[in-house]
Amino acid sequence: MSARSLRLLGRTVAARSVFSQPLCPTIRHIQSSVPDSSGFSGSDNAKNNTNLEILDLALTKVPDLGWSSTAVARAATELGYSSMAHGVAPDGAISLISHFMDRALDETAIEVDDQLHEFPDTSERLRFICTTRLKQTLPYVQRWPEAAAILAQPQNVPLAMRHLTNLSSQMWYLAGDKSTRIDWYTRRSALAAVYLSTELFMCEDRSPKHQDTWRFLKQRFENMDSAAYIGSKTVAFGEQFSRNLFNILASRGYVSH
Amino acid sequence: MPLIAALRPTAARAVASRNISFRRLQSSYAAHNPYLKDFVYKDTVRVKDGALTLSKDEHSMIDRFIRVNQAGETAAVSIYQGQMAILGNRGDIELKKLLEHMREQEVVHLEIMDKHIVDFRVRPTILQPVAAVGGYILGATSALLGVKSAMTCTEAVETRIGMHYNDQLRDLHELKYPQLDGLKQSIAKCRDEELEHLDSAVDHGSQMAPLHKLQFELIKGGCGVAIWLCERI
Repeated sequence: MSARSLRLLGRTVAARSVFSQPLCPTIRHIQSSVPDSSGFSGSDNAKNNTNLEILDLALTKVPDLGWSSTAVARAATELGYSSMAHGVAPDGAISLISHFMDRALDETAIEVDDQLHEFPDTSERLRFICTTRLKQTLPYVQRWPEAAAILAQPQNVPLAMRHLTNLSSQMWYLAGDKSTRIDWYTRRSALAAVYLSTELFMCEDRSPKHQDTWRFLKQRFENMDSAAYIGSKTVAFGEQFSRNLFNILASRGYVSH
Repeated sequence: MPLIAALRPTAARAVASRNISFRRLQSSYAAHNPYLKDFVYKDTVRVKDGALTLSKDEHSMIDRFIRVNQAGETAAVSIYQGQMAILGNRGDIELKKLLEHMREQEVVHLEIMDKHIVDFRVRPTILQPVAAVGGYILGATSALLGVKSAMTCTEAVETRIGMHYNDQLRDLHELKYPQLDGLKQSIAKCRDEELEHLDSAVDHGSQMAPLHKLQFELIKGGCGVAIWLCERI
């Protein structure tokens, strides 16, 4: 298939797609604009792009066909590639979900980039980033419980955990987190819990414009902000340990108060 | 750049302003995605003076280095604090000033490593508080055995750290990325000052401590284990 006919196909598909813009050209251009100083060969680039194109198109089919190999196979055929059994992996569902999560995070990072300076407070910034990421799931919200169930399968749990921790970490970095101690971990686990609970709430939310979800998210953030939550428990434990040790040594006369 | 103009407006602005990290956009699709197993993994790290494209191994190596350096400097600060707590009140002003001076230099090293953790977006080791407490205990215990034993402890730790920083510098020099020059300079500065501490410890009689060889090898070995753990955990 010529490049021109592929582009036309992309545009036709985009008109019916869930995203407002075709995704494939975006990733290709970003890839080519990064300098490849380490011999990133042209043929590898083409192979990567093909796979990404297929998965991006498959994402547009998810509301109809669900998170399945069928969607991937349909996308491959539409793009003119064969849907041979070995290419369409038996774990087509998890690869689609995984790809979606990567895409959603990238789109969040891009969208959020110009508006971050408007928020004075880290917590507000984080809530905005969280909201933007949740809005990426909105087009798939009918099918998301399926995806959550697939992610909860034992063989997929490590992958799901990696995605969740990566998501949480990237959201904090975008919000300007500069922690270097144990609170790096406590912040991320707190945010992961908030995000996960809000996403599950969103799946069941039928209120107009998802107001209940945004209110739920705001309440979760208010809980998270309170001093007892982020990190202070771990820090307090460490402090108490050191203080006790010092007192014991002092009572023996080894250090002076 | 005509290619960037083809992107959506927000994306084009983001790329042009280099505010976003390209890590996810290019490579980590493969790290998670079983369908993309044969994807070529190239990770792009946003460093202050411009994006840097690294392979997965290089990126994980730099992460490991910065992570263990931060843990090591935390331990160093608390070792000197432990030693000062025991030895600072014996009336030996010169010793107290020496320990205080070494501790202050380590605090500066820790600040440098903290800055690298933020710049390179490295996950700090979860053993960092353990390193702080363990260092204090090590410093206090060695000081309880006497001034010369405390100097032996310093000598052993600084010897091991000197070897460790030299290994890191050797590995970083092989990479030949100009964006890593700041990191290499910091590690070189830390290494030079650690070797100065080593010399001071020897000058203050570390070799004369009782069971010097035993203490020295024990503490050096313990440092090696700690370094191995902190790199990975």
